Amino acid sequence: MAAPVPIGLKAALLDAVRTKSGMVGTGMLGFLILLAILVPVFAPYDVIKAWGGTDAWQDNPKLAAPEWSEVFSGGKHLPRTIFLTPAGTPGGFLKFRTTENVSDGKGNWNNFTFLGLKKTFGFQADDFPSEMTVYLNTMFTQAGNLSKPPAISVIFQRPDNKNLTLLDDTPRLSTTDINRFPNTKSNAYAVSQPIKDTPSYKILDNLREWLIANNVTTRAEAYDPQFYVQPEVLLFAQLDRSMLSKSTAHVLKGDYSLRIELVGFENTDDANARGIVFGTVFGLAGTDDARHDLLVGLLWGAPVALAFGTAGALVVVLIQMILGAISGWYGGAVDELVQRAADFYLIIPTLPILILISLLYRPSIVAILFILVAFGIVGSTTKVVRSIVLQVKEEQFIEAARSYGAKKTRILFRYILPRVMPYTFALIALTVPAFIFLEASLSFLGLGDPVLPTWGHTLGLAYNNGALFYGFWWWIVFPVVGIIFATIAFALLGYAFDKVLNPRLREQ
Amino acid sequence: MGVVRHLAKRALFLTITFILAIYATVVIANGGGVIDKLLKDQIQFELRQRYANDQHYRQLPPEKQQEIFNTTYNATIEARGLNEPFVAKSFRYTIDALQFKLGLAINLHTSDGSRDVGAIIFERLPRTLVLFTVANIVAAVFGIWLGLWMARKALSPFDRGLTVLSVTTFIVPPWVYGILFILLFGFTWRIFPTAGWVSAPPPPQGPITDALPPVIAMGMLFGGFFFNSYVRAKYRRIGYAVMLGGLAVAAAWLIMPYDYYKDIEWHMVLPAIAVAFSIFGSWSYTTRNLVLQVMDEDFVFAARAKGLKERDVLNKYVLRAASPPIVTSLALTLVAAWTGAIITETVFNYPGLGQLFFVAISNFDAPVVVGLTTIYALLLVLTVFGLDLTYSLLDPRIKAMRR
Amino acid sequence: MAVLDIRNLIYWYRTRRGAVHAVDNISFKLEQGETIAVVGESGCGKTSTANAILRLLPKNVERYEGEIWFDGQDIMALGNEDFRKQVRWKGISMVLQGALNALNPTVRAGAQVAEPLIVHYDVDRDEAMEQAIAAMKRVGLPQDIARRYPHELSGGMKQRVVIAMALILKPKVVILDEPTSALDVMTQTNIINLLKEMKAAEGLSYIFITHDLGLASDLADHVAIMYAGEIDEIGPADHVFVHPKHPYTGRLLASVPRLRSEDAPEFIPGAPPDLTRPPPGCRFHLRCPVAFEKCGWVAEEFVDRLRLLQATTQGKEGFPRFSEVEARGTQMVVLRADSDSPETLAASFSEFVKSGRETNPFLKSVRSVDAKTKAVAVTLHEGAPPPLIGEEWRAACWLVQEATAHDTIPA
Repeated sequence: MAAPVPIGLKAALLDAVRTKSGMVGTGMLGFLILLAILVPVFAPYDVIKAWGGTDAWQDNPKLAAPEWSEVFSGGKHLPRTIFLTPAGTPGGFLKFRTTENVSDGKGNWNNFTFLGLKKTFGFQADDFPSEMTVYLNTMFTQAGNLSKPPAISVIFQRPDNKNLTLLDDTPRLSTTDINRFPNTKSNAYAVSQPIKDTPSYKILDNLREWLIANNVTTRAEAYDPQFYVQPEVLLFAQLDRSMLSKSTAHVLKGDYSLRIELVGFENTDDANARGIVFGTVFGLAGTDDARHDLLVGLLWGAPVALAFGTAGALVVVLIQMILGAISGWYGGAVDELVQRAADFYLIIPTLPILILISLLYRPSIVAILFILVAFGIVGSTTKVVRSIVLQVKEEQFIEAARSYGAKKTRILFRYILPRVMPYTFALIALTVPAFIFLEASLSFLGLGDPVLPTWGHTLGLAYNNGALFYGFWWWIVFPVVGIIFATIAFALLGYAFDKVLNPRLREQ
Repeated sequence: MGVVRHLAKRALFLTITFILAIYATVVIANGGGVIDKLLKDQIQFELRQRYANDQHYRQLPPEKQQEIFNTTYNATIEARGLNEPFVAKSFRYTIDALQFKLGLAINLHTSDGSRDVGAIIFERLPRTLVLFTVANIVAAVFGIWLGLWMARKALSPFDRGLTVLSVTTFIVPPWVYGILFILLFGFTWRIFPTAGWVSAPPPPQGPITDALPPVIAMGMLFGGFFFNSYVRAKYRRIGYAVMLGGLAVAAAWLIMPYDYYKDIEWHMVLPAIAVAFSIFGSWSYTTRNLVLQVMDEDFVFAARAKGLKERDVLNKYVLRAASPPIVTSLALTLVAAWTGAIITETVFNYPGLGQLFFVAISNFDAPVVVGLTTIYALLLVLTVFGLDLTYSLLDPRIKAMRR
Repeated sequence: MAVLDIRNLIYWYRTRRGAVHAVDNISFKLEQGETIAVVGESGCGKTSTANAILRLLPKNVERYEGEIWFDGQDIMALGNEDFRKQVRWKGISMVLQGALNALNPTVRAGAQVAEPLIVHYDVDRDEAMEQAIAAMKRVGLPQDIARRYPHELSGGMKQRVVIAMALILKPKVVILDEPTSALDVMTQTNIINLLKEMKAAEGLSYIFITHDLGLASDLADHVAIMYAGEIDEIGPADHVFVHPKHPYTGRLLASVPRLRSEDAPEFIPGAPPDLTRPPPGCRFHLRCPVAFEKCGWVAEEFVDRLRLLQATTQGKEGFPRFSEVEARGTQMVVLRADSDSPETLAASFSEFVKSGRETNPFLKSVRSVDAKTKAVAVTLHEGAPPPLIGEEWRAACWLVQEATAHDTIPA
């Protein structure tokens, strides 16, 4: 005395949604759809278009864990990113500028500009910042050899007053810029990762000298090729031998200042500065090695996966369903043809071919969808639907419709397909995950859409950048959770349908 | 009579399908000729580079230079078989593939340098075969056992919970689990190696018998399990003893010295678990549903009325009736696991066929791609035909239908 | 002494809509060598009774209680394993409903007949096969049938195989669950004759479950009429079939077409009730043409009937003009009218009840009609389930109880 199988799509849908797994699945799906609607508001499409570039992300720390992961760090307060904003902005650098004209007594007037920029910031975290960068914007005149570019010093003041000069620089212009007035030059000094053959590389030597001057190391040790200088640790560490390694160093908490001094040789010389002390934690989902805010990518993954999965599953299952129904209903040569096509598609290795096509043509996500559909014209749904149709075919009401002279196509569309529809719905729900994972697989291999940061794409980047081996867990876990969440929502819905359509599987 | 005719017809159709599938793969693997062009461009580029560094060549007059260049270029093209029109070549490739003349790879080679496609494939075949067969068997045995248990306790909270677990785990492919497992067991807890097939440098190589304990352990576990499902209650003690012995062997293996074979087996654990984890759910769910379906049949009811024990009803009646569909999907998933292996093996950097497939594709090494597909398709066709054959011979109902 | 004595057997199972009262407190006895027929419409609990006797229960059992005395022992008290070993097939065997599907399609017929011997007596395979072939011969099957698969047999042959299988352990009681329902008439007759012969030869007792009154009267010594999970009437077949006491039995007999009679077969209006919520009082009262005050009407049923009547007799003279009708509790119905005052409505309703009592039995349940300030309150008689009364021949109907004094049979 089993409960009756609901006939018709609507009844099946209602029954399925009422089961526990149906409710959970619907809830999860509802959440995803809501997210998909809200994401463009939170992070407009432009943000995603800029994903491939670096400019939009350069103020974020690199490979930062999510801020809330601090909870697991044993009560440690992890550093957030500190922005030292330029002079002229609220709370920015303090600027002092004066000009002087000094005669050398021979009728030559030397014009000087003295400029000071200073910004004090508190550093109270229990861990060292991940990086520090100083951006300097200098405006000066340099026409041939007539005048000199200004001299700049960047001075770092520590709470213990063991201050040091990070670097002295003279911004020089390339020859093409020389005859433009006034000249401006922007320099970024990556304090923590100085690049060889740039002015900022001097930071390393300055730090060595500072260590020697404060009796932390001997000269011989400091200039040993094995000696590793880690500026972002040394600058913020308590001054003793423990500071030489990040694992033993202690953070020196207190107020730090960054001071920039400029001596210019024209009255018009000017400068402004901006600095970033990068934290080790960022946002809700952390960042990757290209400083992308992973939250944006993760959120954008939802609409992409939903759209891709549903569109693909819908089209493929409907095509397969119609072919299966035709095959079962008409039988004979048509049936044979569809069955042989199914064998053919079974034998062809779809995924390798897909990978090959992606490699050759780097298709966009829409093109990938089309290719997948082309490879899914016949498949398991065809077989399932065919067997259902073969059953339905024998039923009395079909016999009745035939006996009063209904056309074969009419019976197919009016009587048979409606009977098959609920099963089709279950199959669609169970096929969506397959599509989401196919796209993820391709993206993981780096063969997906070149622009969109899908979950699989993020995962592939994480894998290829060694996230697994360095333990950048946030870069791996969130995309995986995203994919699994979305696919489980559909799996639960599919299961709910299955339960409703196969009364044996539920309580009688 | 009917059976033979039916089988002959099936064999014919499968052969035609096989040939068509190989031809399609040849065309696609060569990018419909696009790859030929890519290869030609590559040869041209390499030649120019070579001559650019050649002092003697650079001193020659331009006409002479051009002539030498063209001669070398054409000779290379001809040697690589790139001068033929693609259509003609596609047929030749197909015929070669059907005769298992797999030819030479373009870039890839075995660890000792052979470019023979057959050798490349057969170097890696055992690795994939062992990994995926073990994982599939573990998943199938565990899944079927779980499914039977779920069916026996159908509709209880236990069954509901495990059903949802099964449904939600089997939709996720093994490589996703692979990534998570590497993060957990490889990085965080450092129990298992995270990648590869053997450590570098490999540990000292002991006798091949060192590889046996896990095989014996698994054999004993499964042997005891199957023994118990087919014998009467009073003999089941034997099965349990064998299974316990299997566990003991497994424990002994863990404390054995870490040598070459143990290293290889240790590398296989994590990928095997990832694969098994992503498929056991489909086994348990399918088994549960099929068993419940069969349990509803009148003849099962009759068996219970006759006074058979619940356990015998399940083993003798239900399982026997439900096993053909179960075996079908076992056979098909085993073969289909090949293509699924591509990303799983890539994630684990496991040098099997799946990874070979990916490397071959990335290098546009069409002969290897075609060779792999040919063997894959052949296995699939043979499996499908084998299932057909078994059913026609074994199931009296199908025999009757064909008559 | 009775070979099987069932006392107050209850078997309910759960569904999503609630517990199905498939077998609700039934009792009957089966004497050695006798046949009792259990007769009723589909879905009245006949097969559930058989399953309950053999303890073949689904997982969703809600209640399973009572006593089943078999061979002087209460088998309900046995543990599952003892029950399986002592009772199933050895003591009580069964010819299953839909016997055509009761054979395992992948096992040869002979092996299936032999299986109980192996299971219960540990007989070795060859010996068991020999006995199986002998048993199959006794039911008129040639030797070579043993080697065939079920799909190679005709319906009649399969039925004989199933009977041979049921008799192989020489049980005392055989439950025949619709043993001939899927067979053509000729085969049906053959099988019934075979069953009679086997009973005579082996001294069996049958519980014969059927919806076919003709077959029941042919085979049975006693008959139990089941309706909605209960026994309505039970007694010697020649009494029950000739002078039924219970209105339901009467209706059931009248619904059988007769060859030599001018009377057209009558149908029982309505459908058997939903067993998740069996009707209070006598379960048949809703379909009973002679139902009266005591049969257990409740307000909800009354309202349903009244609305139905309103819909079918709309506009007719004499039908009380009320606009609303609703149930208040179990024994009170409230009527309201738009145009008429409560007094007028009460008067017209009372008149309607008086005149319509005979055609619409539910109106008999009205005890009083009172005009209140805004509405009319109709109070109903309280009813109760009728007990099974009588000695050898018992029926559960209030009319029977009233009539026993005068020894008349209700129409």
